[in-house]
Amino acid sequence: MFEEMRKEPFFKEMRYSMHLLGQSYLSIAGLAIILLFVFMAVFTSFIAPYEPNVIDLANTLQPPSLEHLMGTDEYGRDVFSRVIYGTRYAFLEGLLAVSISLTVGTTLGLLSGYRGGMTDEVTMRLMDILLAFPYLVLAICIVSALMKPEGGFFLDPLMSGILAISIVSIPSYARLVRGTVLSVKETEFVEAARANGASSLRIAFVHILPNSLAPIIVEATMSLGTVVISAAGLSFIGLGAQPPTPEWGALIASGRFLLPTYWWCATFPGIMILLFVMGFNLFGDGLRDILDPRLRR
Amino acid sequence: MDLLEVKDLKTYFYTYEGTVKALEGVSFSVGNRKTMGLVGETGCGKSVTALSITRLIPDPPGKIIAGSVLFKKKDLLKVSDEEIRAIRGKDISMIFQEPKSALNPVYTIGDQIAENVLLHDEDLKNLSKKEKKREAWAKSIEALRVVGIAEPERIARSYPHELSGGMCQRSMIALAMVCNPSLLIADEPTTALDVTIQAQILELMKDLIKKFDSSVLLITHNLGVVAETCDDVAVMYAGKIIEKGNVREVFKEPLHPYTKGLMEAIPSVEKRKEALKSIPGSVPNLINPPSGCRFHPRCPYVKEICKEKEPELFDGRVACWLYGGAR
Repeated sequence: MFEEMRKEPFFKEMRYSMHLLGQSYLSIAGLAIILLFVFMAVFTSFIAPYEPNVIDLANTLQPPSLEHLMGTDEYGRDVFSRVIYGTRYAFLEGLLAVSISLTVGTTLGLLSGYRGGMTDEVTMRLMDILLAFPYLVLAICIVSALMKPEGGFFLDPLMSGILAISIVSIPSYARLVRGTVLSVKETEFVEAARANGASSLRIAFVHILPNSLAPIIVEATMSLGTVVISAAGLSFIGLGAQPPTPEWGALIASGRFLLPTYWWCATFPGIMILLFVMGFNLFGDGLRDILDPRLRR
Repeated sequence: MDLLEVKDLKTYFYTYEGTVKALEGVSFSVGNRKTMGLVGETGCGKSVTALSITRLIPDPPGKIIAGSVLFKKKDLLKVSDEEIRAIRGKDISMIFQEPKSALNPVYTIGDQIAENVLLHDEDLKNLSKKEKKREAWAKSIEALRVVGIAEPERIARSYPHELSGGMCQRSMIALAMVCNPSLLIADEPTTALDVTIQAQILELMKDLIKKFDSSVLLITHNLGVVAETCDDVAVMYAGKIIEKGNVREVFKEPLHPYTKGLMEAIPSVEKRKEALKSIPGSVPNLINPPSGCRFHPRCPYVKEICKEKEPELFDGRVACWLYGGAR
C-alpha cells in the first residue's frame, strides 16, 4: 500500500532472504539452472544456429558434431536449435498452466475455507472428484473431450493440453489454501479486523490471503517442473503440441523410433526436461526453507 | 440517556454437547465519558458480552437470541450489516488481550492504522487516492505519537514481530483511537503485559479517554486494575451480572458473597502469614447451570431459596437472596 514509505524494512527482509538462499548450494544451483533456461527462452534466435523447422535432406541423422552440436534428425533439422526453441514452449506450458490453476485453485480454496458450510462442502467434494482420477489419465480425458469427433482439435492442441493440465492441478492448490485459510481465519488479527469494520471480502483477500501465501508460492515453484513433465507427456502421446512444433515431448515422441542407433534425437530433449524440472524443484526446496518461519531464524 | 445501554442480553452457543447459555440476561450501561469495569473469572461471559455488543459473535455456533444494545439511541442488534460495519472501528473500537497476535503480521504498523483511517474517515472522502493514502499515513503517525511512541515514523514502518509487547499494545491503542471512537472496548488489555508496562498502558488509556471524551468498557479479571481506572463496575458470574455499582461502593462494601470472595482472594503483603483465600469449586458448566442462584453450590451463606429461585438484581445493586425478597 505504501511502497515508497516502507522500502527500508522490505529491503532488509529481502537481503536476509537472499543471504539465506545463498547458504544453500543446491537452491543456488536450481536458480542458476532456471536463469540459464530463462536466458535461452529470451535469446532463442541468437543462440540457435539454425531455424528449428528447416529441412535439410542432405544432412539427415548426423551424429553430434561441431556443426550440429546435438546432431540432426531424420529430416536433417538441427536438434540443438529445436531443443533451444523448445525452452519457450516449456515456459509457456509451465507458466500458463501454473497461473491458471493457481488463480482458480487459490480463489476456490479461499472462498471454501473462509465461508465454510455448504460452499466448503460443495467445492471440496468437487475437488475430491478431480483427485479421484489419476492425474495424467484425467488430463488425457479432458484433452480428448476437447477434440472434434471426426478428429482434430477445437482449440489449438498445445492450448488444450495446457488447459487440461491446469484443470487437473487445481485441487492441490485449493486444498492447500483451504487448509491455511482455516487456521489463519481463527487468528486474533482477523477478529481485530472484523472489530474494526472491515468487510468479509476485505478480510478474505487483504488479511487472510497474504498470510496464506507462503505454501502456495512453494507449491507453485515445485509444480512448475511437474507441470512441464505432464505437458511433455501429453505431447508425447500426441495430445498436446503436435509435430513439427519443437516441443520437448513431441521431440522425444518423434525421436523414440530412432533411439538405439540415432540416440541423440530423443536423448537431448529428455535431458532438457530433466534439467528444467530439477532446476525448479531445487529452487522450490530452497524457497520453502526461506519462507518457513520455523526454519528461518 | 447513557451512551451504551445493554438490556437483557442473551447469547447462546449451539454446540454438539448442548446449548451453552453464555449470557443469560445481562444488563448494564456505560455513561458518557465513564469507564465501566466488567470483572469475573475466566469463562463467565465477559468477552462474549464485548463481542455481542458489536455483533462479532461467530454465527454458527453463537447467536444473540434476545435483548437490546442501545448505542446512541440506536439498537445495534437491529441495524443492517453495513451500518454495524461502519460503527465498528469508528464509533466503537476494541483492544484485544494479545497485542502481538491482534496485529496482522504481514503489514507494517502504519499500514494497519492507515487502513482503519481509510475505512472510516469521512474527511478523506473527497481526496484523490494518492492524497488519501498520504493523509491516512500522516494520521497514523500522529496517532502513534499520541500514544507516546518515541519515533513514530520508524515504528510505523516496522512489522509487529519487530516490536515488544508493550509497543504493540500502544500501537493497538493508536489503531483503536485513530478514528476518535465514543466507546472503547478493552478486552483484558493488560493481561499479557508485564506489570510495569501494565501501569503505563492503563495510565495512557486514562489520558486518552480524557483527551478524546470517550467512554470505556474495560474487561478484566484484575480487581486492582478496576479499582485504579474505573468509575463503575459490574461483576459477572456464569453469564449473569451479580453485582454492580459505583467502584467505591462496591470495593468498600462488597455485598455478594462471590464479590466478597474475589476481594478476599487478592493477595496482600500485610496478611502474608495466612494462607491465600480462594473460592472453593469452579465456574459451573453453562450447558447445564445450577438451579436457582448460579452461585449457590459454592456459596458459604446458601439458603433454601437460593436453590429454587433465581434472585433479581435488588436495587440495581446485587443479585443475592441475602439482601432482597424475604430478607
